[in-house]
Amino acid sequence: MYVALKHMTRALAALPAILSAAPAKAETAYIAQVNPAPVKVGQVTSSQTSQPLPVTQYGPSSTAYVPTPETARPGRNGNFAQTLEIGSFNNVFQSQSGGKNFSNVSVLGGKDNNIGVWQGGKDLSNLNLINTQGLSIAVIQPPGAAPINMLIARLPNGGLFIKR
Amino acid sequence: MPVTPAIECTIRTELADGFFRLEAIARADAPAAGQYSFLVAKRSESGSSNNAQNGAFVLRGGQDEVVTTLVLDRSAAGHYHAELSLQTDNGGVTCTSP
Repeated sequence: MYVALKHMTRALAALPAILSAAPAKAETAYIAQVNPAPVKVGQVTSSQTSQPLPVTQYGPSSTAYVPTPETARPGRNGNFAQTLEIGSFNNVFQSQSGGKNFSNVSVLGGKDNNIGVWQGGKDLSNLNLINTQGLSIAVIQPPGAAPINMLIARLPNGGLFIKR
Repeated sequence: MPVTPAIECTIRTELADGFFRLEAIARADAPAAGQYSFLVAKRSESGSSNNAQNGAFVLRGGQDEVVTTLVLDRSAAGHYHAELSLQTDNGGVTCTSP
């Protein structure tokens, strides 16, 4: 009993110091995937070259490649295309005309997929396929079209998870 | 009589962090402008990809400038063919890699 009272006395003595200290802050459970500040061409914002992020909280335990601004930094006038294939027998075709196009096609763990991307200028496309088989996808963007950001993943139950 | 600026092209490759990066480089002694075409074909165990990029370029002169960029997966190293063509009103130049 004496020990308990002694500890309580110490705790009460330390209470003002605790209350006057800065409030404790926990990190958010969410990961910011988009930098709210606009990124200018040529601006270096990160030293990382790639950044795997969880795709969905309740889907399969897989990650999608999200190009960092440094990796995706295009030339002053030019286009930027990225094709990542980790699988087998996948075919990717990308055509960029004009300038200031950005395209990322990632095929991770799938096979026999056919993807085509056509961009006419000032277009943005980000297409990620995870564990898909035999899909044929075409992305056609005329100059200045709306950006496309799509994830397609094959779920363990055989269904397709499609997120835009 | 105006002197035609000499244009040079280079395809710079870099293998780092699991990626194979190709950069189409142009250089001119004096300011120049024109059209570029960058074609890259890759065949590897992970699959095949064909990339065609074209557009306009403007060179300030006296320094290397990246006119366009392509990033492939690591397996592309040694299993690709790239061709860069630069065209101006006064002619053009083509370079390949490897």
